[in-house]
Amino acid sequence: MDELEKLINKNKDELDILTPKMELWTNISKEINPTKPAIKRSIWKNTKLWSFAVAASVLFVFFVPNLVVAEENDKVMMVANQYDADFSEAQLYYQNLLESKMSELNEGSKTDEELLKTIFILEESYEQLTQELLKAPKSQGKYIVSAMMKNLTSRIELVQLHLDAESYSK
Amino acid sequence: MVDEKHIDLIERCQQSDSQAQYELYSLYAKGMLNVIYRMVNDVESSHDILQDAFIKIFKQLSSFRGDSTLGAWIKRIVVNTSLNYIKKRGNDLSKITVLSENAATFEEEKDYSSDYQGIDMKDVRLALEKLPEGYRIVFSLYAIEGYDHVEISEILGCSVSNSKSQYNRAKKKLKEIILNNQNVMV
Repeated sequence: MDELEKLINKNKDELDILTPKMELWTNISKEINPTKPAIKRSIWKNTKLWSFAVAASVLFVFFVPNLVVAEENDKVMMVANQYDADFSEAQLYYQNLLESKMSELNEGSKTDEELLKTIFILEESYEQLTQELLKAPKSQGKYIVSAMMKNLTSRIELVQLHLDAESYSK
Repeated sequence: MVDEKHIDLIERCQQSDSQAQYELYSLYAKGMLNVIYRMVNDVESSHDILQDAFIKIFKQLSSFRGDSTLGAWIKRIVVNTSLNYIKKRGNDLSKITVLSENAATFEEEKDYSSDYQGIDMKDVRLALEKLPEGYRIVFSLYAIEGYDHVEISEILGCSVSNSKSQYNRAKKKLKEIILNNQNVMV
């Protein structure tokens, strides 16, 4: 192995500069689950429902810490911390970061509907994960906690991508 | 060979669990997009190929037998989808074989090792983008994606010696481009 090969071998990650577009997953999901989107599409075509979903999504992001029943939240944190001692601290950090980025996004001219839809789906998934965590056997808990963390970071990445795209187009 | 944490994920994906499907996609999408980009050298096409590849991955997941890691299986589908795209684009991959036939005994003429002070991965990335397609594909598959020459010969349909000689030529060309770029900047 020569110097160039050693350099590449040691720093391969630095070659990964592209991030997938956010709509890719929506397209893939539609293709692999063809029956589900058909139902969803008809729902999303309903303007009132769509407006409600957007409003609910924004409200959810901004007020989720206030809306979640404190006791239940404490319980989730306690269980999650058993699998990852830093979970509650990290969760708070990511939640604040997400809220701050969403605020930044809302200051922009037009918020992408696909983004809000995806964020909404991810929020629902997160809620499901917290419920599963409370019922999960010990062998599964760490995977659920890891998925919860991934869910939060994915939402931040999505919003950041949108912010980057906005600033690029200005 | 399959990682324990992936077994449950695969099973859930096979049951069309959309949360699991998204988890699997999130795990590999970024890495695979960059694998594709290094092969096709075009951002828009790379996204299209990634979409096609993941549709195939989910549809073929039931055929995954665990003979390799999940990541290796996914990467192979991604690489094959990229090569099909390149062939459709009109680029004849057999050129790789033709180009290399006279180069089986190729040896590097110059040792550039001492010239590599201050070179970073950005220089490598920019040089990779300038490499001719055949060189870029073989170089990426071997030096970055970690395939050996036997695997590359199977993927590209060429001989092992051709893969080796093509790789050596690609490496030499890449070094020339990097050093040339360095000189231009100075």
